[in-house]
Amino acid sequence: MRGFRTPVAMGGILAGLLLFVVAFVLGRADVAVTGGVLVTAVAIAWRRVPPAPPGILLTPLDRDAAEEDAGAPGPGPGPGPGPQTMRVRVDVSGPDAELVRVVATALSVDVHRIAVTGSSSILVRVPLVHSGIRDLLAVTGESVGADGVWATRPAEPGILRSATEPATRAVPFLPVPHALAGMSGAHEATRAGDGGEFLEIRPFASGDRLRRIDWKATARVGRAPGDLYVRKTYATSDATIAIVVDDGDDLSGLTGDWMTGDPLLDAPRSLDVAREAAWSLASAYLDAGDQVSLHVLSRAGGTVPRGSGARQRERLRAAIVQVAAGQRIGRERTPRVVPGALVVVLSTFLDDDVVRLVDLWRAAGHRVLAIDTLPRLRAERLTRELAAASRIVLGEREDRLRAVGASGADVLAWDAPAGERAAALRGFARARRRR
Amino acid sequence: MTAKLHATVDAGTVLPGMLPRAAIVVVSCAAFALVPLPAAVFAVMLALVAALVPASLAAWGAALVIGLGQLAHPADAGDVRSYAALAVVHLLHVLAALAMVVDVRGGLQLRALRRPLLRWLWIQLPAQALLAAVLSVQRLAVPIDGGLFAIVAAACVCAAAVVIVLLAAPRRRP
Repeated sequence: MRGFRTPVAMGGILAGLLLFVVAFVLGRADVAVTGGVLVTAVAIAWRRVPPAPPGILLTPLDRDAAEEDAGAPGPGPGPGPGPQTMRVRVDVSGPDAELVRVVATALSVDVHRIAVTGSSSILVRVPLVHSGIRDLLAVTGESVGADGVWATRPAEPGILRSATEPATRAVPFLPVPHALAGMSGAHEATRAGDGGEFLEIRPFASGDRLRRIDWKATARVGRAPGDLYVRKTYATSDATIAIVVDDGDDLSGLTGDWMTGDPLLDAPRSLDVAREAAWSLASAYLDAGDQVSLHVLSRAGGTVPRGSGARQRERLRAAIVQVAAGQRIGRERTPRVVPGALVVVLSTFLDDDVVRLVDLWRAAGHRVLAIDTLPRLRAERLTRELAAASRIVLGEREDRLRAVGASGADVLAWDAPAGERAAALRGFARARRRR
Repeated sequence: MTAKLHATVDAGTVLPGMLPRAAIVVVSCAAFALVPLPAAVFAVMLALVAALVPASLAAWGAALVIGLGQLAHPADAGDVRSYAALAVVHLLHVLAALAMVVDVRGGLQLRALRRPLLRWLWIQLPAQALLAAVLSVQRLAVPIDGGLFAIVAAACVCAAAVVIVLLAAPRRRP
């Protein structure tokens, strides 16, 4: 990893010596002085080449802390939607270097090259466009000596990886499975029990609790001494929810961008929508005391077994942030879900695999909520050929969504106006009572 | 239309990376005032090549042409062309070195120019003074060997510049 001499010294010395020789032959001291200046400039800049490349230190700065004190390291991006930009301080220290050539690559594609002094501190603002885990900034650099007579090899890149949490949207109505099997919870079960709404008034029978006796009803309806009537209510129960994320692709709403997948576009991508939907639903169901599990189609290790409570919330949060686009493990793999669970499938429905899975779960008696995670479509950057191709692809997608609906699953477009989404969820939440 | 977001780098005042290359061409244009026309055109063409491909070392070719172009007119202490040529040749060396290390698509922190330009100044001060002295001695028509005088003059430039730069350099902490 030693540095090397650049051709600068050779150029200066050759030109200087040539001027010097000509001046000596022709007896011109003024030309000799000119040559002497070039040789002197190289001699003064000549130093031992340092063996080590420059040191590069990346420090993420909190937005507020950066404004108050640029020297204080901060904790990084906060929870929730997070700041629109992340500030990163890059400290460069090149021993004996006059310049350091810094190459900063934001989000793996946005390259910035800048030559700074040997010891300096620069501030990089990286836009936080998408949620999830990604390489926010990679910085490398080469030390350059005085007048560029030597340079070092590039330093090992310093990489800042950031985990940006998805935004949380309010879910006012929660669809629940057709049959609730739990013994306690916030949802009303279809069987008789404690805690729910009024079911019926019926004569007291062996096994009924005494506190269930409805004395007003007994006084009104009782015909003979000893007739007692009890008030029956529905039971309340928790629900089991299996959230299944299809992480096979990560596409924006711009069909013209599907081939390139530009991470700098200021447009949400399907996995942003999927993370947001998964986290919003998981939070809402956990708030209601339900059991929530998470399954990722591309990774067996991405599964979070069902559970509830604060620790389960943290497990789910970490797993949802880690969801990234990946190849599906096997086309036959079906995530195992608990019998009777509500299966929430988050997908772009751009291939038939997910439709097959929905059919399987429906056939097994699960209630399925199919959430379309493709962001709202925009007809930008489309050539004629791309427009025709996208029409075909989107037409097939519509067919799949229709097939999913026909199989009995509820279909919801997540990246829709909040009112539309809430209305659809309300409809799904009510639908269970009618069945 | 969907906007494309980019990261921004804040490093104080940043000059465009093509500035050293453009400066080579601009400075080499001084050749039209310093050397005869055919040589000046050749020097500027070499500077253009240097601006396009700094690694070609053509900038030192341009400096060489300007330096040798001084032979076209007699050495005279009252002729500013000799002093200007000395400054231009050295400046071309500094700019060519910068052009080789600064990426044309990138930027150059303004603060990073301070040390090269100060070094240029510290070398130029004794060199210009010595050039004036050398030209004055030649004007006196002292019977000395021209070649030997040239060697002595260049050696004096080297010694004086090294001493001044070393004195001006910041002391390094142990």
